[in-house]
Amino acid sequence: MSVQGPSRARILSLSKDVLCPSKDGLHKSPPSTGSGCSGGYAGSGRSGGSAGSGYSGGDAGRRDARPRRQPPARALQLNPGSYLAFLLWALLLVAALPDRRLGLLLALVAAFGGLAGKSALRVLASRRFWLFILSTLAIAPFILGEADLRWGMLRISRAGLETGAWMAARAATLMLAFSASLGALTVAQMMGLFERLGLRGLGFALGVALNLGPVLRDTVEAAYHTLRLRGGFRRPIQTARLFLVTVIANGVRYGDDVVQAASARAFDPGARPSQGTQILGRVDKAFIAGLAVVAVGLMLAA
Amino acid sequence: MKLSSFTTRDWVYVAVFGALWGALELTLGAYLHVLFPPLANTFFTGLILAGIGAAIALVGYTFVPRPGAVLSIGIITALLKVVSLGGAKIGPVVAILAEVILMEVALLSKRSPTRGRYTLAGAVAVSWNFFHKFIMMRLLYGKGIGEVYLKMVKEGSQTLGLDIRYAVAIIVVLFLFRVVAGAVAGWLAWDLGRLVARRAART
Repeated sequence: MSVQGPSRARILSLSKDVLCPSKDGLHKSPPSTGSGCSGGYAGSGRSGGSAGSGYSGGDAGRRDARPRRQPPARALQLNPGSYLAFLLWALLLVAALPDRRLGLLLALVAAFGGLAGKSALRVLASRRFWLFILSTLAIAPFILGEADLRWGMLRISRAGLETGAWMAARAATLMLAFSASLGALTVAQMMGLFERLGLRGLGFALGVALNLGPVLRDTVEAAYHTLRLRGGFRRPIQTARLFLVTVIANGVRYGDDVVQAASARAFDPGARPSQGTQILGRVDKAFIAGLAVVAVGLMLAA
Repeated sequence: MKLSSFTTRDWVYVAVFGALWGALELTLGAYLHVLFPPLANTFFTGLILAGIGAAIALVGYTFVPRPGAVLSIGIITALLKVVSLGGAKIGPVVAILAEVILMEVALLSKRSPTRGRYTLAGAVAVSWNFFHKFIMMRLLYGKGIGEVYLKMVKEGSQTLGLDIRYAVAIIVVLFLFRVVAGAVAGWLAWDLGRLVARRAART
């Protein structure tokens, strides 16, 4: 039984999408019509995509024709190093600060998120975030702390409610910090960061992986329907194995075509980094020094 | 570990397997989190995702048998999770990175890969699932080890149908269950990797 993957023309089009440079993560022209390029990346940004896969982009062909989303406007213009430093700062303080200082930390993290741009606070619009926080608050008085009131099986604890509130504050701080730091970086910034760290290949791999989403979805769909139409579900274990082998083998075959496309454009993962992407500038150093001062202040006041 | 010695082919395979694991986390992960909500027992969700994820990373190691390959696959998966539509979530990212670091340590050897090392790598990777809860509860909720231990014993007692007095036995069984599931994932990854390599070479 042979299950075919995506068409070769589409693969080569996607390969070029990955390989052609676009430093701000935006395509000025459809990638399939431009001239060849040697290395670099195309950040696929955070454009909306299929809800099923969660990857950016739906059908590859249609996606390339769509205008890409502009990077979010930010009041705070920082380089990736500052965002990483902020994440480490928040992790350290969440672990080290006593409960009563968490409110202040949460306010600081939210303020940073607001300055970093709307996408940094995207987590606040997430239903799962609020479900997580509110369910912690709602359940805590019934299961934590010494019971103050009892009605048969039901017990309510004021101490439990207080503990639950601190737990929710800690979780909210951490989720916001994560969203405001890593979540605020564009794919192009991440790839630039890898390049500056001498890991150009890892940035390239991230670009390839992001563009693989639609291809994998097609492969999975083709394999699933082929196996279903051939009555594969009568032998579920054998079918599951065949399904996995087919999907992975088609992914590997797609990879071979990307390698060919990269070689044709003389892509070199070990090439020296370009000077375009900065990790830490003067403003970033001042920002990190400010974070250190605030951390010391919070610790001493605790 | 020298990532700069990776060829373009190696990086592309890292991307392919990172994307496969990422797609699994985004699709099956979301589905399992609906079946088992966040505050319910996360035993099955973590176990299933860690087991299949470890197997995919180990199949990737069959194609890129170099130190750092599994770690790179994990980094790509974690980044896909970060940039996915669901937004950045700290729990799965920490779990993915911890699992690949453990697998990388288990695979460290100058000899060629063996089924035994794949099995060991799978076992240590999935066994992280046991410690993950302690670390994330401390980080997210500020809870101590004692409270997590008590909660785990209570849940384990319900899941296994054992009396809560056998707390140590419950904890050992829960840990061993993860080790065995990981070992099976590693064992199967060895066969799957070879099957895929044969299939890819044939077509």
